[in-house]
Amino acid sequence: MRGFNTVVVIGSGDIACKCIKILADHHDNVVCIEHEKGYLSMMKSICQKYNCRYKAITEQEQLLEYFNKITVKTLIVSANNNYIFPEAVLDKQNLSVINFHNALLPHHGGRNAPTWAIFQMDETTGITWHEVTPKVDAGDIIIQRGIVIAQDMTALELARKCMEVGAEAFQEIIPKLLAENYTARVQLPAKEMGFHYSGDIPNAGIMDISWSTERISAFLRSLDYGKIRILPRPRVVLLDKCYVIERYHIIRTGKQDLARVIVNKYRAFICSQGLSITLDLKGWGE
Amino acid sequence: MKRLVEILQEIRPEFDFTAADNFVEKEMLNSLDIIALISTLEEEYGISIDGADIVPENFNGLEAIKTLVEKSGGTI
Repeated sequence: MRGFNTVVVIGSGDIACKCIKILADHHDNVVCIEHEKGYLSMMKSICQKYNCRYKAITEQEQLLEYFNKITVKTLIVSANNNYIFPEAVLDKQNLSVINFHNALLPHHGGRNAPTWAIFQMDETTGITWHEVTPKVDAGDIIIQRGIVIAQDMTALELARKCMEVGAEAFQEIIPKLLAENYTARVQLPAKEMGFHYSGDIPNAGIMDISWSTERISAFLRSLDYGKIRILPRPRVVLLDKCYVIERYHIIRTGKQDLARVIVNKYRAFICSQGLSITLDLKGWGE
Repeated sequence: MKRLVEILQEIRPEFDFTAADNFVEKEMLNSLDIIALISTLEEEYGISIDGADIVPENFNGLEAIKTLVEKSGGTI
């Protein structure tokens, strides 16, 4: 069970913290690297609590230097991590790198996968742990778990669920990973794989008032990470004026009322197909 | 406080928030739980929590959260 001299966790947020806790039970030499520190970061305190070494390395060059200096056999666990491993690191024979992705690869590779799963009105999504290769999110799949997307789930809620399920899957596979006794399977091309870059935003962030209420609901929820501003606030053009949607409320009435849209100065109300959606608006640039 | 406890239990139903303190240290709330909590608090109490106040210490117990809501203009 001790094939690796060291295990390095690189990443941030809940999934990285959960991986640290799990690893602390399985290995006595765990190092944690925080590359991007958030204002709610708990990684340092989790490391202290579970006797793991903690390093904050924010500069890419320093990170590359750190990985280049590793000479012992090391498992690198990338969890909620935006650092892209250069080929020079991945080519090192003593390093094995795995990554957590919050979708069922090869679907929704790249950034903000929960956003795209909701916007595209997928019924299910999931998580993938995979080997890291120079091509982002394209390595062989170690384990996947599916998640049903609930009817009114926001991107934040789905992201939380992905982290929870991702940690459970990690707990399941870690003994085999550490023993190097697992089988990974090649990613097969799917019909609609979709790779999303960080600058990609559903419909460029603009809500189309002619969409169905289900589509509008999916659009609003797909951009909703609560207080975390991962994506810009959604906008809508009404009567030739652009507004920022500051808040929204979706109620499933179940009533098949006549479709209608009511707009007053800073509030819009859309109702059809058993859904009523209220938008609190602010003039663009006001 | 009753409603605040209900909100916390909607986010993490497996914990009893009335019988504990140090929610963050005890890992009853993680960072995404806190973000979800903020959204609910803002909606429930009609407040906007300042970004500078979003630090783990302000979510570490019922009293700390109550103080934060009141500082943000809400009443519990």
